[in-house]
Amino acid sequence: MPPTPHRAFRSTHRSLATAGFPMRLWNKAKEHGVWDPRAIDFSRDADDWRRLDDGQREVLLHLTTLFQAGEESVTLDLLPLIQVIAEEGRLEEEMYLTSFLWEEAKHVELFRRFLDEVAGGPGDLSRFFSDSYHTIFGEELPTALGRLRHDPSPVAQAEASVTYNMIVEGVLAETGYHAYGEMLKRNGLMPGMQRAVDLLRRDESRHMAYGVYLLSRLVAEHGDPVWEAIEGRLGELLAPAVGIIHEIFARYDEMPFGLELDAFVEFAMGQFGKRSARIERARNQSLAEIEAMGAVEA
Amino acid sequence: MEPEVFTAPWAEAWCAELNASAAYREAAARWEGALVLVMQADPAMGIADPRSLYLDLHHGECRLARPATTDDTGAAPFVLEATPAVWKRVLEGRLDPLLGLMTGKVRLSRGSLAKLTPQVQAAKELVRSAARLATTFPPGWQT
Repeated sequence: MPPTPHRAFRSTHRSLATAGFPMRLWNKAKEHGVWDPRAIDFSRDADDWRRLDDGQREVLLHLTTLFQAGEESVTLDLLPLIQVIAEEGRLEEEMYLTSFLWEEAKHVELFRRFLDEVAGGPGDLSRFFSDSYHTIFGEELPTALGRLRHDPSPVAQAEASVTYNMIVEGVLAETGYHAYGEMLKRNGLMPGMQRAVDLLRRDESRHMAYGVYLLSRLVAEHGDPVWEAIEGRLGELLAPAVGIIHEIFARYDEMPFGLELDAFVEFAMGQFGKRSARIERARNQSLAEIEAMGAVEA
Repeated sequence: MEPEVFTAPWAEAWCAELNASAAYREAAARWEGALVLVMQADPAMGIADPRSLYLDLHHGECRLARPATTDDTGAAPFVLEATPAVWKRVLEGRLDPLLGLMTGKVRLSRGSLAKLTPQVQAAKELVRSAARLATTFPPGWQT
């Protein structure tokens, strides 16, 4: 993409849109997103790990591996979206997105620390990647985001955001972290990872809020073609996304820690339903109403 | 005249279409159990009273399809409900069945979502088969 010359500088002739949704997210990111994965104390976690039985270790390793690879994927794949937002001159959104990518990178670091320092550097973990996991993280995510390099259209942006924010973060990461965090708390295990999951869930809540904002803005600006693209993309990806959840459970005759498939699916459905309803409302909203979206819990 | 949507002859035609579909047979090879589909009343859409269908589906075969009785609705493993407007979008292929479920537009009023969601491909083929039927729609469906 050829460089775009700057003929004017927005921030020298107007104030930043501090009341707008992206700046509110940016302020929250500066307040809540500044935590260091290296500062998480995993010493008790390592003791707990040694006391687990083989089945418990296997499921923790399984879930951690999927989180690790997922965080790596989103870190590697996000840049084209940031580039498109920058090319459109959306300064405040790009400011927020700098924290978004930084936080994804921290999540990569966090899970790798856990694998190395708690799980003892367990070697090749590729046995945990199921067919549906490959479909979403190996194909759909990089393809949808990579497309933005040559097609920055509103429909392409919407399809990328659906893939990244609604499916990968909204259905998979949020559900997985919720279940993982609750499992550790319920069993009184791994206080370091419990703390880390609380922190990264707050980060993820901002990321998903941005995704809902972006999709709502695109719907409000461009109408039905974007909305239909969102519905179509969701229809394509929900089956493999839910497939990942089923494929996790299919590996175990009896799931350790009392994890229940129904709880996973119900939680995913509840969160997804709320977000998709929020985006659908944008069909009848102005951009000003989208900017006034409520602050996220972060 | 072609049968009207969600009526007894339409259900019979749907069952025959399913049994003629290799794609459905393959996608639903592991589906066991009956399904009740409820179309809620909406006079504006030409549906004065609710219509319910009972489909007995077993390993890729449709063994029976007919209007559902109250007993069917109380006993079927899965009962799915939606408005005529939503069923219209599903049957036209404009609303993915799983997306309908996840967004609450199609309500699972009986059964476990976790047990239903592995059958997503079967559900898609079920809908595709229905979409292929020569169907009469009430006047309110024409938009």
